[in-house]
Amino acid sequence: MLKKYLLSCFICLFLVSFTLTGCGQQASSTSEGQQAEQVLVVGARDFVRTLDNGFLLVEKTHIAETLLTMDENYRIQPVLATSWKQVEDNVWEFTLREGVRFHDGAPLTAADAAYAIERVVNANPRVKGLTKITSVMAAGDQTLRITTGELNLLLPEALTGADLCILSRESFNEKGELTRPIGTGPFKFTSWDQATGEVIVEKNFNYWGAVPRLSKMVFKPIPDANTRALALEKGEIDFTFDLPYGELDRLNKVPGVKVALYPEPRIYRLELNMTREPFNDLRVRQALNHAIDRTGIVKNVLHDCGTATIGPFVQDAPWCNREVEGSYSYDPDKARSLLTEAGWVDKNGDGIREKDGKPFAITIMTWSSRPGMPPMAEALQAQFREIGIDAKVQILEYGTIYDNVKKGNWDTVLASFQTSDPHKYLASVYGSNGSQNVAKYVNDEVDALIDQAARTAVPEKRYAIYRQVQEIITRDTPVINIACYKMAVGMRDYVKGFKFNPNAHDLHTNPGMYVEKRVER
Amino acid sequence: MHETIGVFRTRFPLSRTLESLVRDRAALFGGVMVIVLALVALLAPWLAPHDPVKQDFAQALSLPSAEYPLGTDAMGRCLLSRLIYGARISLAVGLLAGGLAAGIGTLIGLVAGYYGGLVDELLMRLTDILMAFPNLVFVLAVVGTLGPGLQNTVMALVALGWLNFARVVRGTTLSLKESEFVLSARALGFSNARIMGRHILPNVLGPVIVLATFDIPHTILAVAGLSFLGLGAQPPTPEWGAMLNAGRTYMRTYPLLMIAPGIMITLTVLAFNLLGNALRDALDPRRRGSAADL
Repeated sequence: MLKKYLLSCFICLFLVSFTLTGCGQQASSTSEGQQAEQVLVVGARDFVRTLDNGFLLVEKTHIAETLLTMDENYRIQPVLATSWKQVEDNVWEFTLREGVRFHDGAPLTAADAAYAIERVVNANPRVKGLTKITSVMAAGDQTLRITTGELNLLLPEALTGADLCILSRESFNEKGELTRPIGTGPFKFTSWDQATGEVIVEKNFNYWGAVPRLSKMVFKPIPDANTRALALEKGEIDFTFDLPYGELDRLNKVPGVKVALYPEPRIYRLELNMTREPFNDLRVRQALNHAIDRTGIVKNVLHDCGTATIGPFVQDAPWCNREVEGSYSYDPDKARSLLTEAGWVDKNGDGIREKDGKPFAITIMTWSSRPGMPPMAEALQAQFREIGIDAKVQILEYGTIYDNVKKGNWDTVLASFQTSDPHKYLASVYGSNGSQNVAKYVNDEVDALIDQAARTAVPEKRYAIYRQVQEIITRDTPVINIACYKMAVGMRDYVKGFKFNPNAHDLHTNPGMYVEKRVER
Repeated sequence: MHETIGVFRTRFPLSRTLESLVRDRAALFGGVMVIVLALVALLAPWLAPHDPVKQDFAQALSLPSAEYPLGTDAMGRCLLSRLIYGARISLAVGLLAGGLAAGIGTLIGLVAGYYGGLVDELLMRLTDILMAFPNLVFVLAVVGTLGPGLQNTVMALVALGWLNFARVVRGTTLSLKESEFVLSARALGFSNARIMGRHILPNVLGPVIVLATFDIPHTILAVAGLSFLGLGAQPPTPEWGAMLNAGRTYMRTYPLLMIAPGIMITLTVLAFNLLGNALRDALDPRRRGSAADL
């Protein structure tokens, strides 16, 4: 009986495996056919839940464009606006590029730009806070007039943000929901599959700039890093990023695959709830800083896909204060004595310190879409244990974590955020009204300096102020910085024309990318 | 299905059960594996060469050596020690969840079957309603609301795990209730509790044990699966499912990190299933003596 059963099982298995391999071959032959017409298949890390996302529309799919952009040397460059001037303290005028048309053929006018910017400013308090825009209006066909509530010399910088991309009003339904993104970019929207999250864009032949060589880009969400790596190896996707860090060396040796690392202005940081014990004590925060073996974490957790750091910015950014790097050496003994000084002592001999009968027990919350964070939390847990802190790691959804943070129901969060715009970063994380100031850190000196920076037009002078801010926040350490990100970008060797732009949210694809595939027959 | 031997005699003679178990080689393997795993779990502190949660970056991802017989993981923790301590967690979780489910289920089944009427109706409709929940979805919902962690996972598994036990025990109790030894016990004026506990319970234990041996691997697998998804055991707990997930990053470069916990899960589940199969045959009066020709 059993033998018969087993035999039939095996036969079934063989049949299934034959069918599967058959399917696989079919799929690869069609993808080769697509290559001939210049298709780039991108393995995207994040599932596309909504199209109303500036990063997706501007930096990944190139459907929409902003008025201005920031180049890789952090200089502002014109895109849809060709020139701009501050006509009064709080009034700016932007001249729009001539001859630009939306994908539906309508010409871009100042009224369109005003509509697009107003929509975002009204919907997004963070953008409103950064731009300080109070009104946007057309002052002529190609002139856009923007009024700010107070002096904001950094308005052009703020307008490079992908959130403020210019979409035609035809993109929205009566309720103001984005239904079909119509922009001015080098690619136009083709389709979005809500079930798989796959987004397809096609070449815009009427683009005002250089028309791209790619005829089509396909964005295939593959949230798991290992699966992305396998898909790249197999040639199912041509381009992807955030590959599993432990696999980079091996992937680089796979024929036909290229992997490169780029320092990204993005920080891994441990956010602390400074409103409660024990983090309201500066000595405790300093002790945690000394307890972290940043170099060890970068080497073993990130496999060198990162740089150990004390300050929040990438080392080669012109506003980075490199002197703060010496502030907190890895020194568990010093950390222990700081904790003892703060009154945390292990009295019952269980290896965990107590104060007033309460053990030093904390929770580290983190999320898993960035492959480095869960193991980093585990490493922190062990390093905190060394100095007598009992840390529990919780891996949750991003949304759940920040719901808890909003309710004040948290100790620490291991997070990762972009730091490419120094003003935006310092103001939102360390400014007392900052949208990301979860620590509830308040320092009047920092607030005053950030204000002063917003009134300082000369970049070099402004950067000096930022350096001063970095010194203060390193001393007060409301947030513990651990490492800067490095983005692991992987592509098939026939993908050409990729240039990393550090200002993007994780990374840009470039509209100038193309596929150069040798035909092997 | 149930032979009535007598009022006080257990119906499953231990010697015969053991005998048929030993004769069946698969069962023998299962039994020995379960015993070995139990010993490993019990003796973990003496068997494990290292502290399973102690990190040592200097030793990260090292290959098997005399110091680390199976090498180390990305955090420089001894893989062998983690596997050994993992046996503790998996067995403890399996036995705890299985035992709790069996206990609750048996009690409810006994009460429902013995008293019948409205009590039976209420309890069995409750069982039916809970049975309608898809198991995994229910566990995911519980863990989603109460937060990830072993404790919540076990609670969720027990909350649905008792249903099968209750059904089986109720059925057996229904038929036993009318049997002569129960009727005579009742005629002798024994209390309901005593009849249930001393006369019916020993006779339903057989199927309960068999069910439990199947329930334990099911639970172990469920917990490993949930831990793999990050919902069960939280780091740095050396749970096999969680280790499998952590090892996935090194699938191609250090495959042992993934294969070793995978093998442990498979072996454990297989061992319990083989044992369960054999127990079922050994305790089934109709198949007694034929267990070896499975």
